Amino acid sequence: MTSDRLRGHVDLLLLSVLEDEQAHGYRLAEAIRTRSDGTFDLPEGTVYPSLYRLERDGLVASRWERVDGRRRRVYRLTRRGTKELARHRADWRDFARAMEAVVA
Amino acid sequence: MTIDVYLAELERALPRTARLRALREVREHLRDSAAHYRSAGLYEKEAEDRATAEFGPAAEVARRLGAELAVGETRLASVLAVLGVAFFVFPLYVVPENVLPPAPWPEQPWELVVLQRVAIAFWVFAGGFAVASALFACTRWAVATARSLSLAALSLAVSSLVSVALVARWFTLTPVSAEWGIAAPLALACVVACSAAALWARSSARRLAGSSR
Repeated sequence: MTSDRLRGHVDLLLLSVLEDEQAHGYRLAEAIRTRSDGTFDLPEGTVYPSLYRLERDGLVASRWERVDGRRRRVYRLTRRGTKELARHRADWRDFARAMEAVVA
Repeated sequence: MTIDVYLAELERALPRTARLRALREVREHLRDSAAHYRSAGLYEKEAEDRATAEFGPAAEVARRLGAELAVGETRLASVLAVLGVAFFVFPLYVVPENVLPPAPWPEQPWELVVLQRVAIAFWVFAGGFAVASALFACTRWAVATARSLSLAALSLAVSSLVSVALVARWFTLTPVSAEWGIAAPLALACVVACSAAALWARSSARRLAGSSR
């Protein structure tokens, strides 16, 4: 799927992965690709601007940690991020249901 | 493209303030990605080429990263712009009124009156735009923040330049005295500091404007 069609949904994808695990940028990109069976193959560089924005908005927090002997910036969901994810998810389900009803 | 070449290109394209954290994160990401492709059977060079290609064009990544990081920087710039405008009261009012030698003329020459009024008018504009940018910076209105910060920076720069002309003209119209040794450098230092702050705010605003493209 092209990155243009995914634009606007990257935040939801990132927050969803972070709900299950704390992760660094590469792990997040990999998780999105794996969970979508390779359908969401984003240019990996697009993950970081989104993460920086989410962090600025207080939805995720990050810190440098040593992972596998290397220093990585590890991201985690904040309490506010958890609430925002629930809201995003509800919106998405409404949207998907409506699209399904019209298109299918 | 190898990881080193990609990072060098990214470093050139990234704003200086965004480099440290972004380059570290991207380096680790590319190393992970190349390791993944090596484990899948690619040679070192091919693995790095693939990792950098998957990451996206360096110029585009730099533009987006710089724009995101500029948002935080712009919040700080907005606050500094407000402080800069407040501080500008020194070269505009405190120094001329209290430090400069008393004016030898019964009525202030017209050019000084004009220069002072123009400087004050742009100072007021700068204050208004700086406050607006600080308020917009608390919202998601990046374009409004960038525009008002740019206008605050430009107004402050114009006010600075007019103030330099004012101080210079005052200097030529008054006899040289001991006070000038303090007043002139002090006023010019204030003006230079405010101009530098204005330029920095303007560059921040430009990067922030990039996020809305």
